[in-house]
Amino acid sequence: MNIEFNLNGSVQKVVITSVERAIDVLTRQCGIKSLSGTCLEGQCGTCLILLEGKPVYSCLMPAFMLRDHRVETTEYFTKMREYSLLNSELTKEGSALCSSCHNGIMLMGMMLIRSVPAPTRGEILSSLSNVHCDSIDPDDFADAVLKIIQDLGIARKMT
Amino acid sequence: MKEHELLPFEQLSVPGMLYACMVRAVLGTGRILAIKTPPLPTGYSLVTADQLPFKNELWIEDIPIPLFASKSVLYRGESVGLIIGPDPLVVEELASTSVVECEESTSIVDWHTISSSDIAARIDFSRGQKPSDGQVDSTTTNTLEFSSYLNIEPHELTFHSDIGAIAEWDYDKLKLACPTLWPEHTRTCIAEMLGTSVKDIEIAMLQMHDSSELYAWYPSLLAARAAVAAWVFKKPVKLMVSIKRERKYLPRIHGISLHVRSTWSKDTHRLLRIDCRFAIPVGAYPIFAKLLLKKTVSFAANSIPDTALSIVGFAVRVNTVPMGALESISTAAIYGMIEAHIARAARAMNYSPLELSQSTFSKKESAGIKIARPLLQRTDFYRKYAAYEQIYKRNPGEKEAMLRAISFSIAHQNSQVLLPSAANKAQIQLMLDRNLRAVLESDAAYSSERLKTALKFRISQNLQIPAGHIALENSRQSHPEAIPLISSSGMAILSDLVCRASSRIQRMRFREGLPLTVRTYSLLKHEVPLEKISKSLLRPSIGAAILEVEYDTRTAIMQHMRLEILAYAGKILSPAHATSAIRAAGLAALRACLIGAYPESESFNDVYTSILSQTVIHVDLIDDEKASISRPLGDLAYALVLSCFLEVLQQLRDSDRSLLPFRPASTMLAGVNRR
Amino acid sequence: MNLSEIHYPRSLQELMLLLEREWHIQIVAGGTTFGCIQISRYLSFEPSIVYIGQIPELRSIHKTERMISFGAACTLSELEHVYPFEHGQARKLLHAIGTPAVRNIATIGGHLMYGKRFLSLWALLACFDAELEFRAFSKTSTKNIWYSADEMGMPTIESGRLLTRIRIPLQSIDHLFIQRIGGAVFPDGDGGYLVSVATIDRRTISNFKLVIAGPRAYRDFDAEQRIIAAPYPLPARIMQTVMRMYAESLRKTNFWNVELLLPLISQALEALQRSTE
Repeated sequence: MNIEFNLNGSVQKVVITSVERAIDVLTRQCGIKSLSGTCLEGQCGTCLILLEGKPVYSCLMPAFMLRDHRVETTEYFTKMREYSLLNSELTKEGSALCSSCHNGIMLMGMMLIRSVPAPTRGEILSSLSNVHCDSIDPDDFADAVLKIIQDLGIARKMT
Repeated sequence: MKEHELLPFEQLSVPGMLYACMVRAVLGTGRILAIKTPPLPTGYSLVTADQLPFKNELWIEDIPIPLFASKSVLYRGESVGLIIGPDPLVVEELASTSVVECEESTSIVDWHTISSSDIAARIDFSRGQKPSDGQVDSTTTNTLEFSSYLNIEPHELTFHSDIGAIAEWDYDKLKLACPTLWPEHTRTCIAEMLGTSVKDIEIAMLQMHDSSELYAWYPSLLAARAAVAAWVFKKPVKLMVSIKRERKYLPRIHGISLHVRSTWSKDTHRLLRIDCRFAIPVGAYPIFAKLLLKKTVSFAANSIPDTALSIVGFAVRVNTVPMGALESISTAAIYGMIEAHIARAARAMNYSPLELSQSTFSKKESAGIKIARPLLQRTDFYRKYAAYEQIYKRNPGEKEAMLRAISFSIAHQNSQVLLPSAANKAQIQLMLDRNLRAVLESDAAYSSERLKTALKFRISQNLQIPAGHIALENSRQSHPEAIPLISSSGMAILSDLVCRASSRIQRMRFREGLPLTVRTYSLLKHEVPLEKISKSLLRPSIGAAILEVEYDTRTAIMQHMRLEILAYAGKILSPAHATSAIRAAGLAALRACLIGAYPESESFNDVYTSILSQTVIHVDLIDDEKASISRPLGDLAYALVLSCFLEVLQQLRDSDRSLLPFRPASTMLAGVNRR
Repeated sequence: MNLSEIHYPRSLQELMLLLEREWHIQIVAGGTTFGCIQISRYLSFEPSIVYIGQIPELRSIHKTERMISFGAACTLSELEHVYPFEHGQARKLLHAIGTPAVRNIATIGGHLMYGKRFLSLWALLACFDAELEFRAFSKTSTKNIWYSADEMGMPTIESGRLLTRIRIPLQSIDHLFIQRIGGAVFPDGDGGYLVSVATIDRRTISNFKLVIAGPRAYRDFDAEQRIIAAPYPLPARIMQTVMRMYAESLRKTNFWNVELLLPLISQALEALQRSTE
């Protein structure tokens, strides 16, 4: 059947079947390159997308749930200034993020920087738990995100 | 096929490509009676061994593995063929609903009970005189003896990465794309299978994930399967592996069954003797069997050179998927057990465990304790250890609701086992042109993005050019025996070669002008005797760790864990990369101790998934700028975590048996059916 | 591959009309159960499926003076700031279900209607006297959550009914004890939760519940009645009597690991004794 949804700011019209997972539609029909369906059980985080601004595992979602929703992937953020700032901060000192986690971690970082003004450290660490990455130090990630937010002067969230 | 460096394998496609999934014999083993597939739509086919135009075997480490089981199935899950077609979902459905009927039942050989016909390899190591039966050494009549048993079940690799292979034939040239950290192995063994030259096989570079043992030899088998399928159909073929569906049939990390007995002198507080016997299951095909035995023994033997030692080890063939990881918790098991015995002996003799450790290990390695002092102070180890021990002494045998334990361990990783033959075969070529653009030609082109970034960063620092001006290209010189990048020894050698090459170019460029090309070989050339190997290559890396846990005795769950690791590893290529690697290995080791289950996943303890995600792990590195080479760190984290964990188990349970994985108590009565 | 017909009702009324026509239609809310459990890349459903995640009536949260009610299609993350998940331990229980990415699409209705076992939140909601509103044809019925367990304590789901809302009476809780037990919780595994709640009113325990839920559900109403109306702190003899009652009733089930659970029940009661400290 035909469905429409908003992907990275533009409307997508795709033909889906009930058997497809959201990740299959996004990668095969919509040309998204940043996703990978490795575990298919919501463990690894390589399939993370933002659905209405919230992270979800596209490998667990049936494709038909995409209808009329707003979806964002890493591609949406790569040209933004915050993205390059975050990437530099996380990959300073000649290190690089683990390839399997890179997209997921950057997506979480961008979500925190853009959607939630001044997230708490606990919220940052909670978001990082969406990505199964053994090699990143959670404190390094939290420090990087908080530093970017401070540098960009984003207003504190009203509680 | 283009080089899609930034694409994950799953996204890769070639025009006209067919998809393939493996048909596996999951019901039983033995002689194949029938392969039953659902009705295949037009355009879909089954390829089996009898249709192969080439030999149905791939030689891996002197072990022939059939591409597809033809007459009989040796292990449950062995592939008997491929379903190939244009739609990946249809192909997967057809492959998963195909049934392979075999003659025998599905009982799995118990690798704890070894019969001589199951032994694939054996190692005997002894040092010092063995006391004869009934004879008592008059100088050591006042002795203590400890005996314990450790069982680590084979466990899964952590899957973060795509696996599979794409093969395309261009007349008689084969183009492959497969995630692999051992490209030369893939090229060489496939060339041998096809009867062609390695120059006719090209492997595309892909976005590689971090080191995973799955990338050792398994990609070569997948690539071979894709290659023969592409030959049969005269079209590119993408062999897909679903980690979720085929998890049980993918190579696993081997376990170990280990008995250790240690004899101590009460008078001198010295370790007199260690006797060990162990068995490692290697699956149906004993790949790496001898290497694993050698590594397991040498890791321990090299650290206690002055102690009488006898070790007998077996690699046991079992009718399961082939196993083996070059660096894993099992290869560090004997070492870990010795550490645990040191802790036990210290408590029994009322002696300081650190002093006992210092006197047990050789003087060279006891430098680890000096390195560990800041760690001990920062974590307040002495006070906590005394406090927790007081609780134990106050209420021996009493049931306390919550127990705390803290343990300390030192480990040393030596490269000797993997290094000498591998060091022969490593070389790289580095070029710098007039536009200050550099090209590094080596197997590093196939490595993970993080290793590539670390190498580029070091080259950029040494040559003082932007990292963006550095490209990595395939190595044109084949070294089939070159140590794979997946092992930390390989990475250590590679980083040394890169550092030397870039330093040499920097020295020469202003004198000789550009362009410049430098080839660097590893320090050992095959005609040079072993004794002349630079000592720096053989110096061990040293690590220390402290593990603190809070344990709920009622539910048998480790509630909170805190792990601190300190590592000294020579001239580190990239501290961030090394820290991440140690952290990841530490988590993998904890996961193996707590969670790993075999053979089915029903007893998977997801309670520890959330506990591990909250575990605090802190890694410190000591970088030695004066050192000329970085040292391998791969086994270090495993040895440290296992030692600490075994000591913690001893403190909590005071038991001779250390059965891992560590399972919470069952909610149900034993033997009660669930439904 | 079996392809299914997909329906997207926009309102509860439209959904009920659809269900009236096709009672065997498969209901999908968050879809996490299917995506996680099904091994193949492709998903397999019944011939006809209805996606209810976008029906406003099933996503709303209402609070009155006496109770809070939330729709069955509310995601678990939407409930984080809602009674009773505001409490620290209950919030931790919610967080232990899965990562935020799972909680952002998993729904409370799907969680309670899993069918093969009682998932994490069931025991907590049972202790809070949650009521489940079901709709069938033109009839709406509200039942205590315990009606989804049969006399053996096994989960039971009546067909032909749609869970629409969950209601929880607002009550003052002075003691909340949550302990995870066993290994795996989801998918089907040997694990569960022990939850107890109590209300203390003028040195008397006015409310006490203790529920164990996992592969089955367990509760000893008689032991609870022994505690209710008892003075607070509980006298030692009542504690002993209650522990004996729990030991007997657990053994009678011939299912639960008494040696594991008795010390935990004791721990819960000790926590109750200290709850106003």
